[in-house]
Amino acid sequence: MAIFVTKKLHIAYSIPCIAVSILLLLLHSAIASEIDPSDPPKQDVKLIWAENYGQGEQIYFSSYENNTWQSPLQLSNSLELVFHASVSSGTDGKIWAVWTSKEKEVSFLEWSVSDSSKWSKPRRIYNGLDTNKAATIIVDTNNIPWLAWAGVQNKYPDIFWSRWNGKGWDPPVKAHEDNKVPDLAPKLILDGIGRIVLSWQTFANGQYVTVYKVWDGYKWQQEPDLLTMKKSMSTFSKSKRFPDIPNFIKDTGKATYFIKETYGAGSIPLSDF
Amino acid sequence: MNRISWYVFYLSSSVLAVTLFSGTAFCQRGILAFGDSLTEGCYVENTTDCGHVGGFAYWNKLQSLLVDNNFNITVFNHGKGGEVTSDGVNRLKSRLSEISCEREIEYVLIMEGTNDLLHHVDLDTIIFNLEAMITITRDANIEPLIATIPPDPDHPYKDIEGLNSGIRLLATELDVTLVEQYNALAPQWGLYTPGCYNPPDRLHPNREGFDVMGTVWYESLYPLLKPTLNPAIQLLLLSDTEQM
Repeated sequence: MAIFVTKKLHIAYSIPCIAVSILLLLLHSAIASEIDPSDPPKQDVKLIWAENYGQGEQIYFSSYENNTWQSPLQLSNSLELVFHASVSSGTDGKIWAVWTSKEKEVSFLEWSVSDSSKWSKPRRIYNGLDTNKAATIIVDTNNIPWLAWAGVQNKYPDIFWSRWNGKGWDPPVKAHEDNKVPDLAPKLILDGIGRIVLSWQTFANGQYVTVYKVWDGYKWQQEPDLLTMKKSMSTFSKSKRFPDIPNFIKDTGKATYFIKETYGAGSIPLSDF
Repeated sequence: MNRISWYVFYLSSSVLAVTLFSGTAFCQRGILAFGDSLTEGCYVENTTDCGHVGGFAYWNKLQSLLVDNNFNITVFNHGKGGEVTSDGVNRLKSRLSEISCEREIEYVLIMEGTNDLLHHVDLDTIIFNLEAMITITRDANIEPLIATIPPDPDHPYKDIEGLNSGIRLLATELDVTLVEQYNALAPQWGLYTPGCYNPPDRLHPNREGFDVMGTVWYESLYPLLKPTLNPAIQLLLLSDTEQM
């Protein structure tokens, strides 16, 4: 009887001990994986590109999920020339894409949005500019998409920007003072502390220089800390943790990565790799 | 001769020797071939700050024509594949401000813009950038030459004709020597492509095409080329001729 009771007590005592041990082991492995420096941070990686797979040159999209590139999804169905595509996503599950569609001498911006189930039919942005190219898109921390692009009002391109107001795109606003030189290659990123940063190239003193501006909540501010800005803008392109470029990308010059990590988000042309 | 006379003799000999060799031994006369892959060419073996080494492009033919015709001037290949003109502006500025390479560039051969068209850059912007390259070259007291760009049948949307019209107009307005690569190459372009690129395309020329390019550059350069000999030697030769 005594032995039986002792055995019972022993089992009763052992069960919580084993449970606690298992919990501790699980906790240890969880902590270990959390601090393992070789473990890549959680990434949101997408690709958008122009390619001709037999439908004429169209815009295609793919996302990187479970260590695999998803099959290309055709976003445009255009008889016109389509190019300069950019894509971004926030935390609400929506993915926003924008590209240029050229019809004779006029080029328009076209956009499409996915609510995680299907993509909307592409729609044009009529903004009064004859030329709209090199568009870049970023979704901010409030899940509002921002656009910047090179548009021509007079002779040379200027940098314009716009935001989604819930129903449509706000009218384009020039991001700089009037000038008589080309302004090129706009880039929008979300930096490590959630600020929208806009950069582009402008011609000054006989060469092209990069301009950086930060949205302060009301207007674009010239960023005095150029070194930090340059570091932010180059963080993505210097990362070594990107997934390999998939085989279905034939021309890297026509494709753009979108990367979102803990330190921010932005797009990088594949030609930069 | 007394000791002072010997000193004077040694001194003057040294000065003469330095003068005679300064133009050749210490500083090469140079032509800077500047542009994209159509200048860079194929199978470059090595790249230094002074340009590419090895491979073949138009510079090989141009250099051999210069040597064959007794022009002691070196062609430096500074082509960069895939480059657009906005990047070219900055690169040219940096190349011409270099004080290394022990060379004295006398001419810059500019041929760029086909990648801009590939990436849908506006014609006005390309012409703006080419004009900037001409200004940068002239500010460095170097003579620029500018070429029309060859055809690219693989990309029919590229407005090659439009850009070449702009280049011709720019050359006239700025009084720059125009090098008609397009007119020389276009009629036989099918024979001059594909080149060394993989997959083969109809943008990059083969060796025969590059030879035609080199010849066209040479023919445009020829009327501009300054005498090769050092002025001191010329002076000596001139005085000899006068004595005769």
